[in-house]
Amino acid sequence: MSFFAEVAAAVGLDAAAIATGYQIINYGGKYVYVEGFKRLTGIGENEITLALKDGVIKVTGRDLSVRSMEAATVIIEGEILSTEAVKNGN
Amino acid sequence: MEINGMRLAVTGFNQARLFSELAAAGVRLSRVCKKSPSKAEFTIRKKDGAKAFAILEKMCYNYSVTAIRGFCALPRFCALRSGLIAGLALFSCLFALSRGLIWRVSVGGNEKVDSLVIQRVLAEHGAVRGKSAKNVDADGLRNALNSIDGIIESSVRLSGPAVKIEVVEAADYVPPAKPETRGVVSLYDATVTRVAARSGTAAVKRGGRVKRGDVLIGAYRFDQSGNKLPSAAAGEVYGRTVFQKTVTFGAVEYQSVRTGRTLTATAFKFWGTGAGVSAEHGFLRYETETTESYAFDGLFVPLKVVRTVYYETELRGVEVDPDEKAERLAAEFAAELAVLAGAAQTETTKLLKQAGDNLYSLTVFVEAEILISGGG
Repeated sequence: MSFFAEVAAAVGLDAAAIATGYQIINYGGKYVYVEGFKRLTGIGENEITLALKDGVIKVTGRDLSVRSMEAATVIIEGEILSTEAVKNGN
Repeated sequence: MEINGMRLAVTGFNQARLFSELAAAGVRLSRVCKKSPSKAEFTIRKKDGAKAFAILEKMCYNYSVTAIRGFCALPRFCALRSGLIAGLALFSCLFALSRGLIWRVSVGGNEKVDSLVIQRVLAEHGAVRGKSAKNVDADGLRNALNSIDGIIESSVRLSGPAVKIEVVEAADYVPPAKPETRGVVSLYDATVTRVAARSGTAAVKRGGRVKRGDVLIGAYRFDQSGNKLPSAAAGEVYGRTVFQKTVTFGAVEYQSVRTGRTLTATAFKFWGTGAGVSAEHGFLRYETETTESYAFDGLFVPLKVVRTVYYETELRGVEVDPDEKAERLAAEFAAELAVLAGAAQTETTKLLKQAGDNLYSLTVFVEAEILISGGG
């Protein structure tokens, strides 16, 4: 069973919710793994933004850069100060 | 950069959209680095290159490939620096091999004990340059050094490639007397005429008679108290000696004389090569004279004319004046001695006797001053 599936099972989410939602994992404030976003909308040293279906994920920090990126996954490295997911309308 | 990766530099705005497009198309991006609002760099897999270039061109981005790394990159890198790599490998091997070897042996503290004795002990225990330091038994070597006559204590220290030996000599140690060298000796039986001793003590005086092997300059000197001390011997001693040579010759000498008959042969050389000169002269005895000259003098034409003249000769007996011949032979002998033995102030005496019909015996005595001294 995958890590995300384990967590989903623990909190009672089903597989569809995992597949259509987003996941953010912060590794010790040095790396952030984000999965489930639509596209990259902004890239800068202090902020990287990713578009969701109905919102945006903001990762703020210092010396941020994209370590690797594929269709719907990205690893951001740098000094991670905060990650937030903001829904549209908020 | 990963193996089989390609680093791209792009110029253009809205880079986030570009990266999203590339990622959506299945191009894996890594090490994305935004240099400025309009410049960014990123790495993709080589196999995604065509796809990435198409997207970049479609989105009107300027781009350039700054680096490519494939599976052949490492072998190519090594091949271009093969000399450097070979040199580093050789140096590393030599360094590793030399690490355990002795490169320096220093011995200190011995003033009276002969260094050769100490070195012999070191050699017996493997403490010599080029040998493995691991094979040196420091305690065994120390014991061997302490057993040398005149040494009461010693220390052996191995420090990397160096062996440091320190010895302490006994205060009352008296080294054995060295065998006395003879000095400068005479190579001839002679009467001494000049003595120039640069070191040592002259054992002969002017006018003294010496035989071959006698000491001319002794390897010793005297101090103020008259004690005899060893010393090096060097210098030059000259003396008068007599050389003798006996020759037998006949009253008739045969000389090669030209008869007057000649034959000339001509050949040509072009650029220094050509057929050799030969002619059917038919002479039983002959001598030749050969000349070469350019065929066209003054013009640079490398054509030479080689002319050889054959002179017929015959042996003719010529009566010899024995006194004249004796005089000539004596002079030749004296000249020979001047060259070979450096003879000077020569006095020549001849003794000419008739040895038989038309046969004479000449004995030449040459008295000369020569250098009679030789090494010690």
